[in-house]
Amino acid sequence: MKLEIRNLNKCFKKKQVLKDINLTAESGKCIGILGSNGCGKSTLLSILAGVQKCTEGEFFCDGKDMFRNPRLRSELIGYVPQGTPLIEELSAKDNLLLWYSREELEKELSQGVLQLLGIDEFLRVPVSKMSGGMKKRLSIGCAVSKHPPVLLLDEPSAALDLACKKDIAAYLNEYKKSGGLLLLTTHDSMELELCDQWYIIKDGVLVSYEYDGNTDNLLNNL
Amino acid sequence: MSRYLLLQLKRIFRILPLLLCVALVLTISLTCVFSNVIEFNNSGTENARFRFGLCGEIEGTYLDIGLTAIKQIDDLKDTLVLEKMTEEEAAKAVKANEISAYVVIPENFAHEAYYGNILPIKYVTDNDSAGITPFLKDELTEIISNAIAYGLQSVYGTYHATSDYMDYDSSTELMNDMSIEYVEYIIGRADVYSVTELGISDNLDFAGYFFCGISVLLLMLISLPFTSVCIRWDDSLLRVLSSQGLSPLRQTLCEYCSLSAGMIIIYTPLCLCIASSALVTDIGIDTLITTDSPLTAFMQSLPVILMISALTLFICEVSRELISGVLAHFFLTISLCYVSGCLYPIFVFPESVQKLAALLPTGIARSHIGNCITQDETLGTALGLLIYCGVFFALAWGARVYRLRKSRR
Repeated sequence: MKLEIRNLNKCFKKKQVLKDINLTAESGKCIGILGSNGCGKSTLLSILAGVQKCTEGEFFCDGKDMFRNPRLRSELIGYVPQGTPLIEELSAKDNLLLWYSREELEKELSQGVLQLLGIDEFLRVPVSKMSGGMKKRLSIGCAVSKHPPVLLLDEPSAALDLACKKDIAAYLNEYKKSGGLLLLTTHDSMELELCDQWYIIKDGVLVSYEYDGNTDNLLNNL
Repeated sequence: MSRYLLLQLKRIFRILPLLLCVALVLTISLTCVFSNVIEFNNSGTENARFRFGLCGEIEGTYLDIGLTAIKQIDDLKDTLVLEKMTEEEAAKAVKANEISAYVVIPENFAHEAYYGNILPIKYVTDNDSAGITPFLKDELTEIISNAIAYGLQSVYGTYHATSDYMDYDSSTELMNDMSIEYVEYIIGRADVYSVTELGISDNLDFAGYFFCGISVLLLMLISLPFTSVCIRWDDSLLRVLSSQGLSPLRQTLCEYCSLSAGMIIIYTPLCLCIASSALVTDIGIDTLITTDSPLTAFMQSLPVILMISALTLFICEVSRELISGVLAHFFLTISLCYVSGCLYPIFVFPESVQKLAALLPTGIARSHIGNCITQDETLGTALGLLIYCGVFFALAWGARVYRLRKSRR
């Protein structure tokens, strides 16, 4: 799987949030998008997920235009937004049934991705009573229902404790190893270490960055 | 889409017991209000008497025949009360609003009437007396004056006509008989007319009208607890659904269907209970024409539920917080119901407000329920409600699209 973003622009009225974004990535990699708050990281991911339209630009997966094939895009790309894409009043199982058939759910819970995420531990707990980590694992479980080769994550470990961050990072590492392509926005050092390529969005422009584990250097570049 | 619809239905069903309890409490409360208002209205009508004072030469011969005639005229509702008193007492009573007016029979009234002369009867009132309009006061005064004067004139006229041909006793006896006949058949007009009330609005009597208004208010209030389920402060799920191909239109449609289903489930037992009780008991609405079955009544009132569901969805869609959403829904409900004449008879409002009420969704809903009660044509109002339903749904959809666009920034 090869992902290509070409000359992507996004304007909100007169303000240009994203300027000529170009990015290429391949399977088995993790791409980290960095930047200060409000720089356009979430906007970039939501454009790639098809939630909103770009002003100009192209997006390809294995040469197939994702902007023109929404059905194919929904199969190839999983998306985990920053909030909680879950129905609060219902249990984890009910939420999963929005994305999985009953047969698929049983299979994934016994030997699939949902088992890997440990969702069977809190299957009958209502979302409103779950911890932040549980919610995030469940959100990822919902996003990967179609086994997408590309997973977009908007700050996956924001507001999680260390144990939860570790669990999430472990799963994402597994996903990467199994040939998945991860594109995530983050400020977290644990996730930064998971990434193979780093980019910073500054003044709407995507710039390549070489992360060396030194957060002071990173801060100076944001 | 079907999975999202099923989950939305599941959300609604989870809080259904709570919603049913709220609906039950609201229904019982509003039923109490309804019965109290109807009772008060009925007792108020019974007690609405016009009291008149009678002064001057009241004790004259045969003058009571005129008074009997007046009672004959008023024997349907007993709304006229004539009280004999002195002029001084009567003047005080008028000022104290204890009587509407008083009539003074001048001195020698009976004596002059004996010779065919009717002396003018003095009528005294004040401009603000006892809550009757000047028009009505004039009418009543004329009736009282005519009844007294012509009653007396007829008695003496009979006496003159017979006295030349009979002895005194026979003539007097005949005069008495003829006077009584005269009062009963000529002046007594109780059976000459009958009053048919077309109702205060939409051919409904007060109870029927109030029932329609309070039904709309009840349904609007029943939809209030649904806001706790429908208001969202996190758009993440909507964004993911959108990215997975479930468009804002289909999202809104699923939520509308589940909300309508919840409303119908709660409304069904209430409607069937009310319709069944209307079939077997007198619920105090004179203009109520019972339908063949409770099911017919239920089916006819469905457009109201669909419109209210769409309105609730729209309110929830534009509200970001639970408290503001519930408050917005509540105040909109009260305002719409007030202006539409659901809380007060519509005729108490200025004409411009009446015209506006006829166009408002709650006004159309009230008329629709009224038409269902009286078995009038319901197609027009049902169509109006469905148009509003479509408008509110479109607004909710538009708000969802705007919300998704805005939240993406």
